[in-house]
Amino acid sequence: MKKNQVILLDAGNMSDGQNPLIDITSLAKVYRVTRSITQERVWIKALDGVDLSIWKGETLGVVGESGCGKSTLGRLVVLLDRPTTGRIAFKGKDVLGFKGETLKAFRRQVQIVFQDPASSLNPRKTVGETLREPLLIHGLGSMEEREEKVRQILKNVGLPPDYTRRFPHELSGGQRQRVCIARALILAPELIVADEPVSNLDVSIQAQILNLLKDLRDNFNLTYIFISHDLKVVRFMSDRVAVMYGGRVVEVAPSAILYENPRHPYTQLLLMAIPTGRGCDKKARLKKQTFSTAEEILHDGCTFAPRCAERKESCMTARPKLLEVEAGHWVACHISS
Amino acid sequence: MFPGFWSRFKRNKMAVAGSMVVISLFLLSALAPVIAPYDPEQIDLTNVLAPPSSSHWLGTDQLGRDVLSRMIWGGRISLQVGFVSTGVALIIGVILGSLAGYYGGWVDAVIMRFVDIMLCFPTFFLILAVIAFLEPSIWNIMVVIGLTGWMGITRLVRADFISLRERDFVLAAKAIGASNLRIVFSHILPNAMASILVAATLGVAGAILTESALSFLGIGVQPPTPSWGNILTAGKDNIDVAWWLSLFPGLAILITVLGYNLLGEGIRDALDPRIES
Repeated sequence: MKKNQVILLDAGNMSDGQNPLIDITSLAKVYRVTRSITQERVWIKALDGVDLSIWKGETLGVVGESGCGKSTLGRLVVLLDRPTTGRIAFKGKDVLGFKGETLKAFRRQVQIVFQDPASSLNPRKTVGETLREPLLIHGLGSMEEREEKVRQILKNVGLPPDYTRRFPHELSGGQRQRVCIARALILAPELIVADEPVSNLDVSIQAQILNLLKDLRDNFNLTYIFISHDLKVVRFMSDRVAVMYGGRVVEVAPSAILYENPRHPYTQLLLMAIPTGRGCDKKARLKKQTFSTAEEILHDGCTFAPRCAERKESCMTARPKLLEVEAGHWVACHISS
Repeated sequence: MFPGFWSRFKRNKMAVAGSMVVISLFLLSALAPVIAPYDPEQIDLTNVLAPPSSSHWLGTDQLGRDVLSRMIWGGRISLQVGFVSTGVALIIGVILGSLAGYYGGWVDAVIMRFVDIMLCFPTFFLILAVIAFLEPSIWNIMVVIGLTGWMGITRLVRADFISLRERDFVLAAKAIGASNLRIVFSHILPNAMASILVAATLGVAGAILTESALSFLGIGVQPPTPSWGNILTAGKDNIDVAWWLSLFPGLAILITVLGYNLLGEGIRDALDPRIES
């Protein structure tokens, strides 16, 4: 295991010029929503041109407030949804072209863990049935081998093997989330997208699940995209962190650098908003929106500009590009870069 | 399969009463050849329109046939009609509702507009019109009642599918590579069973009522085969001299429909996890 960890750290540094495991280029997703009464069609921009790379063995944290597109990003990466434009490459291959067998093979390698363990398990299936299903779908092993694999994976996630006969409603939230992790893990994937995996759990259980995810990463050489709105949790888990706002990535950096030296005004605001136990930092308050016309809000510039305290004229007209301000530290801001 | 169902169901007195009624009807129908005191079609012109007595508990009809025996055999017909026509409605409703709810988009639009069109017809007159063209046999009646009664189930199943298909466990199944068929039959349908079951139970009551009405009008089950509806017809003709001919089949229909409705509502309440005492 020690050896493994060394390799992991290496990959996490991502300075060795290797190809990324997942390469996301100008990914955008637009949803068309029909309002029920007026039948008016509205377009909602969930993702607005995201570029990200994830290297094997690293954990990329994705933070941002609700509605910033972080969950949409996760769903697109595991192909639960199709992007409107853009490209996702897995080991250099374009995943959007996957169909049939190639898609099935991709599903084995990329898995997802959802936020709410109460709704991510089928209430009519036992734990054993839920865990056996991926093996059945992919035709792996004989019946005995599958049973053995299910018992093994339960042990890996810290549940007793006789839990196979239990129904989800007989489990606690933490135990359910362990089953969800087991289901994602049983196909031995390389990448797991964890979409707010601990947000619905008690704080004491959160720590257990986070430690479990960390142990599994080390033992199975996993790569994580760890989505959360909780900055402390993301810092605990991640090698690198991407901050999202309004469907765009505004800052990416190794987590030590991001938390010590945030460059984007939004990141700075987020970090100041972490409760410290010493009262609220007055500076962390958002500047009030001072826009009166729709044109001003639907501008071409930086998505954060309407809320930004340091905004200048160009923020409203030109879209800031993600630029490298120091090694591995990328920022999309007219002011900071 | 449904945790806590029995304990909640047992506490509901009306539901228990409803299920008793339904169970007794099943037993009566199953044992009809054994327990019916007379042959339901045996005519005895020496003893027409006899009031209830010790030899004929519910009296005799205008041809001297034993009303009790006819009602027991008529119960068989009601049960048959109720289940077969609900079965037909269920098959259509579940298939169309699943398709509409799971795929959405134009599939949904086409199916739901078709449902709307079907709902525009006054069902009973549609059945009358169809039966007028076809032979009024019991099979035709069952199929026609089924073919005009699937719209509610379709809407119900569609609504369940729309809410279930966005649930995380369905997305998780998709992420592990499950096919559409597997997702529908192994993940969504079992979770929609509760409401389908309730709709089916209520549907049986409706079908029995429709069959009685058709038989009463003379275009349902044809004499001499007994049915509660056509016993009532005879009762109508002789209502001033033989009240028992109208009262007993009427009561039977009332109690049966009430029983199924109470059972259906009891199942619904017991399956709803929000009702917890």
